[in-house]
Amino acid sequence: MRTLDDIALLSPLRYKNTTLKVVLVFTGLLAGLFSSSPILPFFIAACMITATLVLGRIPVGMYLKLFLSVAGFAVVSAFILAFFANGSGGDVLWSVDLFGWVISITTGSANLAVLVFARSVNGLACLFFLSMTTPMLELFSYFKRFSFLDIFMELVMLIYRYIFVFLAVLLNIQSAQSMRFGYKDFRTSIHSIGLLVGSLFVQTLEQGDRLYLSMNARCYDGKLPYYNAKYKILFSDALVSILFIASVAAVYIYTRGIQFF
Amino acid sequence: MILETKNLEFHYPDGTKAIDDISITIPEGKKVSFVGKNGSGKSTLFLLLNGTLKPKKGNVIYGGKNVDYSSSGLRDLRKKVGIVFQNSDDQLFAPTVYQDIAFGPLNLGYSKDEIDRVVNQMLDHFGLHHIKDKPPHHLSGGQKKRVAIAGVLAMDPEVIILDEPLSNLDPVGADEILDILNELNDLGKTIIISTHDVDLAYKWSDYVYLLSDSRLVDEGIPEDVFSVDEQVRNSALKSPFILDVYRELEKRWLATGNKQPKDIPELVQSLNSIDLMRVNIAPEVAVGECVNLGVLFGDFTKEGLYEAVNSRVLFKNDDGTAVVELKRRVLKPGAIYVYDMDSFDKDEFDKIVSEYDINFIGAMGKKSKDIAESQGINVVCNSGVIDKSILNAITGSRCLILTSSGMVSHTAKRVREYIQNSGIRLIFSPIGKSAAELDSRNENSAELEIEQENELETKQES
Repeated sequence: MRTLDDIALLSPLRYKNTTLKVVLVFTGLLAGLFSSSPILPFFIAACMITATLVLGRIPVGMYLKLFLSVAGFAVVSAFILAFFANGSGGDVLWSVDLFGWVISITTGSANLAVLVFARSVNGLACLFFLSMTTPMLELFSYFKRFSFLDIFMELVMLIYRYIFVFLAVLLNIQSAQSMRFGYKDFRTSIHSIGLLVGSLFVQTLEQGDRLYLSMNARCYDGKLPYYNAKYKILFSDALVSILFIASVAAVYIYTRGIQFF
Repeated sequence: MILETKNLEFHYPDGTKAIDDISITIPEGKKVSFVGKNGSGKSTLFLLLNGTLKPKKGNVIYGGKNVDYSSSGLRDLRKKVGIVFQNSDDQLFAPTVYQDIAFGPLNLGYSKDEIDRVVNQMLDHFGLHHIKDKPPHHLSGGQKKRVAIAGVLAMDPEVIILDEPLSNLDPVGADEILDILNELNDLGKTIIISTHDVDLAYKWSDYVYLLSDSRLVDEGIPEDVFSVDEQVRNSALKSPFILDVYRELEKRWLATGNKQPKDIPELVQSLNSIDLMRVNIAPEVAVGECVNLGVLFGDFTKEGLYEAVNSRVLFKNDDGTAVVELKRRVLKPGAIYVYDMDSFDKDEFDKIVSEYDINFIGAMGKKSKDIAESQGINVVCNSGVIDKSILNAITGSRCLILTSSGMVSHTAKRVREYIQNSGIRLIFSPIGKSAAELDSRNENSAELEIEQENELETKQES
């Protein structure tokens, strides 16, 4: 099973400077949020998706699956906004009479709906770019630089590591159960899930014991080493980033106020 | 003695005895195995050895001193005695390989640069550089095990304890880990492993402790420990496969040796060099009697083209066949002659070829090859001449090796060595004008053959 983290670990963009990635993503997010025209958010989203798929070498099918499942919510909310946000005025574009109740789409509500949809897609694309090219490991070293509490960091690192250990255990138990018809109907499923959770809980306790044992066996003195990921910003990285920011600014200026309806 | 225990005893909180009166002494720089079935107390003993558990009775002694169970004492002990756990996931808790190897050195208070140096050294040594930034769940079983060992070795311990180091590994991965262990042992580390794989313990260890039901059953070098069948069986183990095979061969007189073989080459060496064959015999022939097998030829011969063979029955099978020991006499033995091409003389050469009935000519060295070519001599063999001549002579050919004077003695040495080591009867002599001084030494080889024969006869009598 491949998790999002596995995908990020294998992406070549993993080895790019994390700060640069964060700065780019925040630029994209904020610019999209402050834009009055839907064109800019769409433009940034297109840039981010291209970067994720082409530079980040994320499998297209996988990306689409994730993207569409989330974008569905944006579509629904934009649809509802188009009908119900007609307080913003404008001409009536389309209306329907439902048993004496008139619902209509006005230019104002349509524009608002498109803008909201554009911003959501932009937000999605930006955050997908960050999460699919930056594994937790880089984030740890990033958090460390902002001097998060040591105890917090250590817990996060141990939890991160053992999520995958227990994920494997969970999958094993689950397949062992379903092999013996543990999920054949609702009742047995509930029962099996109960057993699974219970057994996982016991195993986490035991694993905790063994972990403490093995840490002590290596002279544990309250210190965990940190991952120090320092990736230099290459000239090409800087060039691409500046190009991106410049074009965002240009699009922002030239598309100000442009609406679809 | 680097590590000792005296009358060690340990109970688990629920009262079950996990270790019962165990006294061991582990010498420095040895490979030691603890062998026992699952639950025989191996893992608990290991946790006692590095101070993780405290014994209820008895002592653990490291380097001649009782273990000090204060926190600084334990720290010193654990730096010296490293443990690699059976399940690598118990041990690899850091998010990346690099961090995991750095864990020990960091907690020992090394400086940042020093940690970096040690970790990189480990990564180099174990070939892990390409995966240093990977999380452990992206590694194979063998890689995880290597990281686990590297993490312990990074603290530079004197004793490394490994609990079931080869469990869950594929054969190649297991071999890699074994190589690492042998290498570490060569570097002077004392290696202790636990295993229920008797074959591994038998061939790998210098010293073996046999554990059963929390008690020490036996200890000693593997040949001794595993030779007591009953004890091995009582510990719910089986005897090593290679030892089983050897015993069966020995029962049938097919193998003898002063010591039990540890691996396949040793087993092969212990196979009797006496010449054995399985033949059909008449039912009234008893073990020990002689049977004339007549003349053998072709694939059945060993030394010449035709051999007259007598045999003695060693072992009778139920199906009317028997294993017999052969006594061969070559009817026309093969021969190797060496001719010095520096004093080449056409007439003499032709005379030799016809007189000695030469049917295989090989040339060694550029110079003799050139002479042979210019004189129109039919050279059959140009490379690996000595070996090919020996092979041909074994099958009854009469071979002539053409070589320059400097090479004559070398050739003579090689062929004589072969005769001496193999005990196979070959005629060998330098011929031609310059052969006189070498001829005198030729007597030795003849004597050797006689000795060889005597040895065979004494074997038969016993």
